[in-house]
Amino acid sequence: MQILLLALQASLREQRGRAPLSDDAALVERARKLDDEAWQVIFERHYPRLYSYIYYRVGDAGAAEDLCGELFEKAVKNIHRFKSRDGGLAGWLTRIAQNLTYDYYRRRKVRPPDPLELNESWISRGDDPDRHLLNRESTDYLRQALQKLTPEQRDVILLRFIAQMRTAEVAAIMGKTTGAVKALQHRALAALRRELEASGYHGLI
Amino acid sequence: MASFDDRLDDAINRMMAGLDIPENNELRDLLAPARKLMESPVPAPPRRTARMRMNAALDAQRHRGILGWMGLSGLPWMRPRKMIPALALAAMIIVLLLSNDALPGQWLYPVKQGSEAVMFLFRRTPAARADYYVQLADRRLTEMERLTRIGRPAPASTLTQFQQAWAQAASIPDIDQTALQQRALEQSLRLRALLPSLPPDLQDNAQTILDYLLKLGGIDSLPPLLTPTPTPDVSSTPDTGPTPTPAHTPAGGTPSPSITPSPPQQGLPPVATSDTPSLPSMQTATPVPTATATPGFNASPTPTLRPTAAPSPSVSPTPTPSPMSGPAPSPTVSPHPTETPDETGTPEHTPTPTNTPTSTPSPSLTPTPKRSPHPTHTPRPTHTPSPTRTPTPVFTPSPTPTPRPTRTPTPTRTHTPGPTHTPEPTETPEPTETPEPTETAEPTETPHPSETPDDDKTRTPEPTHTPKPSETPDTSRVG
Repeated sequence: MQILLLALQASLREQRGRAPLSDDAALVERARKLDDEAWQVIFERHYPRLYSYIYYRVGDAGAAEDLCGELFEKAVKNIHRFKSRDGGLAGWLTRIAQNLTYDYYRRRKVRPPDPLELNESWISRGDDPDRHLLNRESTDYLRQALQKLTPEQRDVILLRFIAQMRTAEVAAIMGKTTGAVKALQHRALAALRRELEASGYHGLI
Repeated sequence: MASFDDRLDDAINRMMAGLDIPENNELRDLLAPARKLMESPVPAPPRRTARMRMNAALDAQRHRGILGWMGLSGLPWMRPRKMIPALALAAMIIVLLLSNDALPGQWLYPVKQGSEAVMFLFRRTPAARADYYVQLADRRLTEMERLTRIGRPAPASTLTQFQQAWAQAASIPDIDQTALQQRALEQSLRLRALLPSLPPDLQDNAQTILDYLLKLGGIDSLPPLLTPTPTPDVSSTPDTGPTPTPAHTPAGGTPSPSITPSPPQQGLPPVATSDTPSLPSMQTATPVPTATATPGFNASPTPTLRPTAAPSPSVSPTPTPSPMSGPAPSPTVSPHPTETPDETGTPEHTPTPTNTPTSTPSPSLTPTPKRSPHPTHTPRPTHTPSPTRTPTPVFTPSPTPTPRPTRTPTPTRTHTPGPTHTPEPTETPEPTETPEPTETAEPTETPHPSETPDDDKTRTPEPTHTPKPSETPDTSRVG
């Protein structure tokens, strides 16, 4: 009997031991136990891209910040429901973000604002802000071109290039196969290029 | 070879990873806008607010809602320490449930009484409080019953609490007295049944409480319970008709004894308790109920009797006639039937109906039409034939004593069963003969019969028979 108890205690101790945070599964496991460190890692790892994604969909930095806060609240409350087949932690968080933006529009009963309406202090994304700094002109072109795409094409572009998700994750979020996402991605990029060319934008060369 | 979509996707992945992209015009054209999007500026993401919200959510999640308070805020977070309140609550509930069945002297009994006291706090209205006290008394009574059942003496305190509960209930004004009376009577019956098994030193007190309950119930005593004894007679009477009669014969001196058997009919009255004493009360109290019993009897016994009866007539005639020739028997029998009629033609009918079903068999008996003539033979001489009626002989013994006794058993009236036997008279046929009976001036007698000599009555029945075949049988007996 004592041996059993000791074995049980040992296994519990082992479970409580710090699992490596590089691994998504371990990260989620610790997050489920409301481990502070795990949640800080998740926040730092996913916040920027989730914020950008929400921002592109909402078009308002304040609203994007609020929604981001709400997103992490929901994530904390529902982490026990997370399943790895949901497209990984990134896919799961992005789906929450997507649902939040839908709710946001529903609550406001307004048409989605122009995703590329730039009225904030801007920095370039990427490691080298100076090198990637773009002028407002190219941004305007992109905004107008995105507005002319179909909702699905716009979704795949935002998820793939703004939220920086992998094809499989996008497929999980959109409920499509990876093959369908690749084809959709192809058509979306072709349509975007056409729209940019049609608008007289020459920055693509 | 990979499709273009695949190669495009692979190129995008390489671009996102900062790797070289294969030189391909078509791919380059599509990747250009993708690169522009990836390099497009976004507002500096403020993290402070979002992080604060996430941390607050983490704290809240650790102690959230009722489940959190109970230590059940999600299985993943269940910790033994947090389960303590939930476990304590569960233990409390279990103890309370177990204490419900506790008996005086058991360690859970104080818990039971404590919970009862708490329950009182939730009774606000007078009616609710009265109900509470009555329930409390009921619980005490049940405890005493259970203690008695397991062979332990009921403590005086329980009896006192029972009494106090009733005193409290009765002292509450503006309550439904009818309901209270019913409950008081109900519990008084139980207490009375329990009384003999209580310790001797408690019996006086219990009797006092019983009297008090009866008073509350609006009656002075509980005679009904004793009455049952008489009823038995009735039941037996019918049955005896065929066989037991002999036994009765000796006792015949007092017809009442014969009635005693009826107790089974009553069923409800504590069968064991009442043996003899009831005799006097019998008539007064339950006798009437006996009537109720009668139907049941009619049902089952009659059938059985029937068959036996049928044969009996044939056989009995020979043996019995001589001894029982004393038509006297017939009168005794007749009394029963006659009496029924006495009450009123109609009342008699009531029984008759019951008999009627039984009479169904009588039709079979009908074959013995000869008998019917006997009844018609109202005249004494006919009595001789009556002996032929095996059944009558059986009864004869008891009647022999005197017609009176038979009358005394006024209860017999209630014993509509007598009529049930009538079925044998199957004389149903008699109706046809009715003319004869009708001829007899008996109609006039019919009313009197009950009062006057049974013999006459016996004849009287005939008239009654006229209307109902079932009755005819009785007459035949008389004959």
